[in-house]
Amino acid sequence: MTDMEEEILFRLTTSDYPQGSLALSEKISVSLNRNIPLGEFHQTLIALEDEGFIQSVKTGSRKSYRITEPGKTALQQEWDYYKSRYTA
Amino acid sequence: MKQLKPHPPTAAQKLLLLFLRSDLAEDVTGDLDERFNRVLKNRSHFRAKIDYWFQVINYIRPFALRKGRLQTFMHYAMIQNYFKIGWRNLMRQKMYSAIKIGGLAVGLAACLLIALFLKHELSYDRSYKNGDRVYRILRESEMKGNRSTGLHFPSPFIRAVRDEFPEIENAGHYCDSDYFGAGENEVRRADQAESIHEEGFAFMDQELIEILELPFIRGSSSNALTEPNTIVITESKAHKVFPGEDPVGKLLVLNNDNQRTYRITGVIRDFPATSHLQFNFLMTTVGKEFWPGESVNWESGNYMDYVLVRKDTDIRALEDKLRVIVKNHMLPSAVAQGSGKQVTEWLQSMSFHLQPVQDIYMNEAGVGDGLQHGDRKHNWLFGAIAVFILVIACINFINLSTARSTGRAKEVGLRKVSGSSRGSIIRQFLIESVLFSLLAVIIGLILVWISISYFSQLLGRTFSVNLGDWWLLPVVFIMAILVGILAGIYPSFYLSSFQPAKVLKGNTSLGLKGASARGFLVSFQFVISVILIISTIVIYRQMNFIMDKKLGYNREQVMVIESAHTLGNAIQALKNELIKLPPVQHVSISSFLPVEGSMRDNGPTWKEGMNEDNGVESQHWRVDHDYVKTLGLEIVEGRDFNPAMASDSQAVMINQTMARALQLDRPVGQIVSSLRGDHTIIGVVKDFHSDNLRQVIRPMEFILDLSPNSMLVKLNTTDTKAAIESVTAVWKKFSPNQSIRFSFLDQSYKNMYDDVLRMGKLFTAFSCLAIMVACLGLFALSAFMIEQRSKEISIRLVLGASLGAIVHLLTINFTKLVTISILIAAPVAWYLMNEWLKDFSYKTEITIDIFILAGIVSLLIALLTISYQSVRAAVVNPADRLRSE
Repeated sequence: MTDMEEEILFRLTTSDYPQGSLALSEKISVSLNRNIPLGEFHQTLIALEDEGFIQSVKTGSRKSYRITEPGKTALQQEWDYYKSRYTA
Repeated sequence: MKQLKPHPPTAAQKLLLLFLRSDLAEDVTGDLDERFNRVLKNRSHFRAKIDYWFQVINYIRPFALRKGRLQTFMHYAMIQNYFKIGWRNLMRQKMYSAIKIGGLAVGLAACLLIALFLKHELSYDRSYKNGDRVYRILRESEMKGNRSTGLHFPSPFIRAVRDEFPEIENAGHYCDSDYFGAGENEVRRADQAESIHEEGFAFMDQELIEILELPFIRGSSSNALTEPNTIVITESKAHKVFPGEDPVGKLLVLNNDNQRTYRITGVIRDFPATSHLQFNFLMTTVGKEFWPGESVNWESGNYMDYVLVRKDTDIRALEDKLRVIVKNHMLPSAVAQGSGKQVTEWLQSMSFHLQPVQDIYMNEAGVGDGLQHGDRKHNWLFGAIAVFILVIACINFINLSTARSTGRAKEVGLRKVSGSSRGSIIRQFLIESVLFSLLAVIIGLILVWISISYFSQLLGRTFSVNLGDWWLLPVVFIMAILVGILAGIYPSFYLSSFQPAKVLKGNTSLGLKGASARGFLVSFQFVISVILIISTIVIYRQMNFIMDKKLGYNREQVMVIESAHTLGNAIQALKNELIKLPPVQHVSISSFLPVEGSMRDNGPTWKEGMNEDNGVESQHWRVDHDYVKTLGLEIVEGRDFNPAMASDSQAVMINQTMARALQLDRPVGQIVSSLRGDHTIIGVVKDFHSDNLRQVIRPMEFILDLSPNSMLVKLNTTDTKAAIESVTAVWKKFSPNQSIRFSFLDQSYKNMYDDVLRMGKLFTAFSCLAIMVACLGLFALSAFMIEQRSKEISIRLVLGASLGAIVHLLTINFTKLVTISILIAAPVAWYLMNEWLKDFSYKTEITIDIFILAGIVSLLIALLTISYQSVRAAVVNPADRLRSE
């Protein structure tokens, strides 16, 4: 899982509501400390959606995203993996 | 009228919808529009548009591309095939590919380097938050029919501007005159004994700090300079003088003078390299008068004034309104002081101009502000050179692609027979061309990375390429595509026009088609190269002219000790000690030096029957008895100052120009007057160049007076190092806490022409690049032409043709082309260089030998390039070649 994918899943986990892509990309640009082009961000969102880790919902004319159960599990596994590496 | 709301660039929106999957369209356009509006809140409309374009280009990714229409337009497999064929061609013809790509890479690298230079030059003073509302005040006035522009204002002027005009939000000023203690000073911490020399001192008021919004790291920006004897210093100076300490509240002593003790109230960031103002120490103007009554005096002019206007101010109307100050303050004051008619007429003619702060660097506005300025002419010139080199490289690309068309003819024929349309073949060659161009860009970026430090050194500025810059990669990518299309468009149309029936039958004359177009393009390349060669020679001639010019004084071995005034009364004793040293021939105390940037004092000089108002505007230099001897000036009439003659305190020496201007046939013994009183002329010195050779020699007079900022030491030795050591040892005896600081007059003279030297080097570098790229193209083209005529050459050799005859046959056409190029380039170069030389009052001649030399050089280079291939073709055994045919 890339840094951006992990960050997207984490941001969606901490949010009670579905998040719009622009707002999400801005938060992630701040946390990853780099300017993320929207094209790159959308590509990642679509990849995560294809894997079933996130789900899009229509809010008005535009889409918002929320994390799915497999997404939460994947994120947990990613964290567990790092935890095991650093505690070993 | 209602202002239109800024909206995203329509072209970018259309492009996006052209390739974007329709199911993503609503989301993506919504996000992009929203982002555009957010960027617009913090940045300019232009930046928001650029960002929009960048985001759109970033969507060109497989996941976002529309299927269907676009797929038929450019099928993925087809594109892959185009790239594959392009790559194979590239690898098959390594030499030609290397020349095509290498030439383009050099051209693109030159373009990028010059783009970095232009970006730097055009980014001055863009960092101020309210930069679009900050203006510098200039004044225009007329005296004796001559209009002049100036920017020095009396101290109370700024108060009147601030208080009497509601359109002005704030107004502030600064003074950087050495004369009043700004400029350069010896500085020390109050708790230490040793002083160090520092530059960049200015007197500035609190208001100007606020207008420029100087960023404070320590201390408060709101009241930094509101109290007497306060000073704000830059971050780098804070680190230097107070390493690891907080300097705020600490004391600085200037020139070892306890009367000049300043309390540090703030530390600001260093002025950015792209600021027209470059100061390190900002001293308050509060409580400071340069002479008693100066703060209320309207007759002087020591300050540069800046204003921050309110939003939506009509600048033209405000400029007109400012004239009220002349009527209400300046004229009444001049009349009260009893100024003459000429002064009052001068004031009545005065008008004001507000110069945008962002315009100052590129537009000196003829005011002589002593700041570093850019030159629009140079920007255009360098931009043109970059484009020329790129054009030369593109021409190579076009020439080689069309010349080698035979190799591709069968492929084109086969593709057409198999059902390819002309459009798809054009696309194929364009894609191939873009592929070459992309490779060239990568190599070009590497070349830029390698040469950037040399380029920075050459131009005396600091440039860097940061791949993280948001604009760089999109710009380079777009540039690669544009250049690829530009260079590939003619070859692709040309190659796609082949008739399948003809090419498949084996018509091999195709490569020779379009030879006249190629001839034209080769000539064009050489026209550009010859222009650059001629320009380089003229610039070098002018440089040599400047360096070898007899200036009327001897600048060799003259050591200039700076900041000598810090010795106070001991300066005369130092002079007496120095003259005793064996390598020292003469010593003189004077701050007036024949180089730019040293002290100057202008004023009228008049003779009997004239007055101040119609006197000659002249230079008044304060010198001592040994000045003429030290500089080796020639006395053409009369005598030098004599210390034994007390009456010389009322004497004056003038130059020949002054004698002519005052129409004095026998000047010696005549009385001339200035604001300093009446003086008797005792001698006339031969005219000498006291300023830059761009200026004419002006009327000048020498008077005996102390001007102790500098001391001139004329050496007469072969061991300069030992002489400097002995002078330094004497200095240390007089000033143990302050190190000696000196320069040599010949070096200072050379420094005046840094811009010419730099331009010479830059022209040489880019001329070499241009001619190298042109020759590479010529080399490849001649190789190809000879390859085409190999059978003919072999038959001629069999029939008894000599080596010379073959070489002549093969080189004559190119020689003709280069000769034509020289004939076209010569008048163009003559015109351009004549324009450049107009800046100099004293200049070299553009003589015929320059054109002959440039012609011979370019012809020789071209002949050498072609001859290598021609001789190689002529020495091959004809039997081998004919057997293979």
